[in-house]
Amino acid sequence: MIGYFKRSTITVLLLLLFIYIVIGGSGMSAQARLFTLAVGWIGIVIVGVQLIRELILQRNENQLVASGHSPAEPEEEGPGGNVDFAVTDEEKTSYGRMAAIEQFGWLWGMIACLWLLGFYITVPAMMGLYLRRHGESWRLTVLMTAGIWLAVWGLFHELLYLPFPEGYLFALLGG
Amino acid sequence: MFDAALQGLMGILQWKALAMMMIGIVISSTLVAMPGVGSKTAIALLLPFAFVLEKYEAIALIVSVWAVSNTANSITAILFSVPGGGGSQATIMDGYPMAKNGEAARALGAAFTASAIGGVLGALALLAAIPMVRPLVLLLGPPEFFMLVMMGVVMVGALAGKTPLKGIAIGVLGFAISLIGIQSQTGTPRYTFDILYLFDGIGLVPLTIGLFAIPELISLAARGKTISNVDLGDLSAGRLQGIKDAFKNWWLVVRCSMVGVWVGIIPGLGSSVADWFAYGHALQTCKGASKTFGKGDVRGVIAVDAATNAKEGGALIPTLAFGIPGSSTLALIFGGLLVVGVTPGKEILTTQLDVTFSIIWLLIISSILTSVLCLMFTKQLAMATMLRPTVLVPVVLAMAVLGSFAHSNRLEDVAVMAIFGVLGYFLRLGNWPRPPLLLGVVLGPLAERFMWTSYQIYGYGFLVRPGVLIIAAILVVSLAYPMWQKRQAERAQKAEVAAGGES
Repeated sequence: MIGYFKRSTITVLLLLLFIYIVIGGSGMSAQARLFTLAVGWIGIVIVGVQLIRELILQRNENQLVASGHSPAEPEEEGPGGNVDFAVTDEEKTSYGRMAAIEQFGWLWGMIACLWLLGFYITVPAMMGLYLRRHGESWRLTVLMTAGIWLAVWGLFHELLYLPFPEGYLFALLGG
Repeated sequence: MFDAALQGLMGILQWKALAMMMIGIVISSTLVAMPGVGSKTAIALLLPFAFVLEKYEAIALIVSVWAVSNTANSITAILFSVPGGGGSQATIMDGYPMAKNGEAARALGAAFTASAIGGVLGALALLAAIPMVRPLVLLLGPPEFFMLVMMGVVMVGALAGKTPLKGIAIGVLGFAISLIGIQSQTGTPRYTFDILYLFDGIGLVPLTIGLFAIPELISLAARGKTISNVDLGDLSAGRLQGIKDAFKNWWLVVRCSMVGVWVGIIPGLGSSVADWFAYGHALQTCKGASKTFGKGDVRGVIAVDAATNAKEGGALIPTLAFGIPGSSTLALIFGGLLVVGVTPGKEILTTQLDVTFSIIWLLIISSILTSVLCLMFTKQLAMATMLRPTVLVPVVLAMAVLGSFAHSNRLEDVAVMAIFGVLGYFLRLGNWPRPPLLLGVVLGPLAERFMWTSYQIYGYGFLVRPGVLIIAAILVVSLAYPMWQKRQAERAQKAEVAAGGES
């Protein structure tokens, strides 16, 4: 059973989300409810049909495997059609997966540091650390780190007046 | 109308607006020349800056970034056989063989010139369409507009990938995300979980950056190496011949531009359809094409580049007139225009007609300027492909973080960007197309407003009004016909295989 749903994880999650939308929308005022319920119910129907389709495909594949045949190569679907980038071959490799995890690590680590240390330190630090981690030269690292600091301070703070928060740690020390 | 045209021109000829246009052209051309970054990412990263500008300056930045994105695409397609975006796939067919035959400069010259002429013709098509669609738009009421919004999302969803249901489901998910926040008419908080940040809803900029820039950044990081490190050689000799080729084949340029405009008008069909349609048209109609196309015929390059750039003018017709962006990139433009106080639909064709004209002027000026810049700096732009991902990724990451924060100066925006980055990555991995989600988010509030107004006036009877039924019929035919064609082709293929097996 779990095998059935593994391939359909996103579909199942979407179905649960749309069910939640319908339940949450039921208690709202008429005006707030109308579009909410329309979205919820349409979502349930479409995703429900998609889930049934995926389960039937999975069952057919399982039957083929059980009868000793190799399952047919599934027809390529989804992005890569008209308007979205297809997943590249490199991304499907274990190296690609590791690269993805690493990038998410940088992103979420950066957010934590932004909260803790603020933009002036975090953004240049991320730049420098990233470049060194990937073996770039010290010269380029220093140049780009200084460049991004200049962009954060000069362009975003001085020209665009972005009120960067100072960071929790400094607020704590200052307080 | 003449006054509005003049006012629009004056608006974008102010030095600040001109400067914004130049910045948009240079940054967009550079980013788009790097396969994997793409125009959506470029627009998403630049959009927050538009929000702090005056109306015309913001429009100049937004439109120029978008309008030029098809031109620089051809550089990598011709030189390295790597499509810079959806619209440059067919450019490879003849552009790359030309480069291999030592005619890279000629191919680039022809591509940029055809692109400029196509862009201008697309803008003129938009101009010609205004007097025709204006009375039509004024005739439509809320039920028809509601149906048009639905049509936009469903068509983009159905045509975004190879599984229409998945695309439509993602479009509905976009609608669902647009529900988050205080409902504007009643003040009812929806799905806010008592989090103050969510009362304003999910920001378009952090959502877009997360959804598109982060997965592309991961793709860049996974690639691990530069796109090209070959010697670019001399890219100036033969350029003039290419320019002459485009003018010599002016009738082909005009025809393919019209193909592009037609594809652009239909929501959901992107550049990747326009380029193949134009290529197919040129193959069928050019003298001796069956023998020379695919081997380095300059007409193959001219046809494709004219169509892909002309498409943008055509795509603006439903976007500006009916408020239906036909692609996620246009949804971003649409969102950007909304934020700077310009509402596509009735308003932009009546009280804000100067804005429509400023967009047309921008399309014309930026198409020509971009082609001139690309002709002058081909080598420098091609060198963008030599940037290592290890250098590019932290820059895009920093821009993504700063751009998200700039949206509303809140750290929560950066977190939202990261959450949608994770969502975008998994959607891409699971073969769920992302563009319909953006369209759903942008059009959700409009759909809700039209639906409620229609319901108040007609009750549920709004669903069976003649205009609504006509649009629904058009939608069904537009969706069913390609499916029917595909099924017929599959049957014919099976019958052929069976006949081959029997013999």
